[in-house]
Amino acid sequence: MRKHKRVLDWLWIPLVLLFLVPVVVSISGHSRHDRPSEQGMLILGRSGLDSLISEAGGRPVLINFWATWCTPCVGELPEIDMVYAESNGGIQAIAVDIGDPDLETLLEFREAFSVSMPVVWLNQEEAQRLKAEWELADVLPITLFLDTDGAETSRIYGARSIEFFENALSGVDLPDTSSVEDHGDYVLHINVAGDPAESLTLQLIELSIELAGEEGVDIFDPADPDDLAMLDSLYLPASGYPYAQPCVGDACGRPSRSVEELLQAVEALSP
Amino acid sequence: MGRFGRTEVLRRVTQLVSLAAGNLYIKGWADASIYTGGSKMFCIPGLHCYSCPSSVLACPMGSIQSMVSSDGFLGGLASGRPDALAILGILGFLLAIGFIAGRVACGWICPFGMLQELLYKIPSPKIEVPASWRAGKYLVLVLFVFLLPMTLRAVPGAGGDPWFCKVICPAGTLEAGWPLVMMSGGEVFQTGFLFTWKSAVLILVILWSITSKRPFCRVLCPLGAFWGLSGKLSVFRMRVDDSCIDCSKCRTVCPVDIAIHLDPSSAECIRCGRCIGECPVDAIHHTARAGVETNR
Repeated sequence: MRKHKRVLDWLWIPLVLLFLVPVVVSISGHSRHDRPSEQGMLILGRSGLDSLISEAGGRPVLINFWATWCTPCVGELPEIDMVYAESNGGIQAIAVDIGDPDLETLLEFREAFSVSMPVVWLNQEEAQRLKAEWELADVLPITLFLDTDGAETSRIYGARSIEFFENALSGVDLPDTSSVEDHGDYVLHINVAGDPAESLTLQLIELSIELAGEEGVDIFDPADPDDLAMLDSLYLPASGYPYAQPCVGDACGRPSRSVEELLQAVEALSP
Repeated sequence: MGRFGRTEVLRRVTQLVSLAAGNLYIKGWADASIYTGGSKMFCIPGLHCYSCPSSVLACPMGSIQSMVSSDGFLGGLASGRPDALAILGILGFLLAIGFIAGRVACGWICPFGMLQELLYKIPSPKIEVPASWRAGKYLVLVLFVFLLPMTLRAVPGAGGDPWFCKVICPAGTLEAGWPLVMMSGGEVFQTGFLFTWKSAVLILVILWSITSKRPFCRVLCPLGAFWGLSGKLSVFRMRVDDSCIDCSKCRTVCPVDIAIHLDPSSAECIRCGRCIGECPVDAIHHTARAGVETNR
């Protein structure tokens, strides 16, 4: 009985040491994740974004706003992810999806596309609130840089290269392209996807040609396997036809599904 | 007036007022956001998660871990870097409370302590926790609040992690982890292993609190360990005089199950004062005489 009690008296040691189990699991899991090809965590909601920013703990923060349908965004994400992975935790990078109202779209996208940095998804209401609060234009991608104190130092519209992000995060001064017109020449390009026999598709094509000229419009018929493959390679939506997506250089507007929406999207991109 | 008189009512009111004062950002519960205003520079004297949606103050244990886990913390402290020196402010704040009255904040302010006391009221078989287990919290303080956050690096060259928050703190799971996951639009989608682990820890602590007196405070809480150590030297403490008849009624009502009549300067005492009202011969008192342990 006394021996039994003696054992019980020392049980607090294994009890406390038991908490080392999740530490070991977490550390080993993290080292597996420390490669750009590994899928990072997905967090839903604005509070997740706020937590990630507040947890940056004195590190510079890069916040990239993107959407699965935004071709330049998808081209740029691996570049940002590479800088993030190579920083070995020296920076906090967050990819915020503010352009996919349906979470399923993002989940499907992640099945074929991996980024190691945390991805935050916002529903439409949260995305609108955040865009108003942070005064974000209605184009993508947008990248914000925050300094170690959490203050915004630079705002970039449109996609950039890996060298750009490396310079930005190593403290090289950057122009603040806080309006779309600052970003290069204004050359409008519109991708239209839909059945050409449909009247709405025709309306979108006509308006697109009127806005961007014949050379500035690409038309994709989803019934054509080649066009469908092209849509896929450009990460353009494979549903919700017809639509027209306007882009200026490497910043794109939301896919529009009516002439009014297209006019608004183009206006948002206009200088 | 209740079983333990006016002091107990006053203590419960103080706990509730403290809880309300530290949670003024009610909006956080409506839109699943976290308050990030200036008051978060200051700590609540208790275990209350920084990420609780309504919290307007920081958790002292979370803040300490955040600082000691930053890259180059010790060098920064040696060279006087302001962000590293800020830890002295938190330690000073905690030590000031501890040197004045030991674990008084555990008894009068800490919301997680109050929760455990309320859980213990649920009728169930009651189980004593061995007194030796109290040492556990000192190991938690050293290992999970200081040593691991300072030394363990998941990514070489980067900052460390707040391991007490990540793998133990049930208050964080209750006040931030679970609510943020459950609240619409604010849930962590891929919650993973750590969330499951911490949920299990919280459930076990809740169940344990129903059967044993404030078990987390006594066995695992690093804040209690911190204040317990400083409480050994505190100005305000308990005194038991010669009239004590060793009836042990003080231990029966003690929320942390200590025999104050045997050890008036116990590091475990949370200065709640329950024993004072319960003593049949009025042998237990508060005293402000530094260094005096007992008149017996």
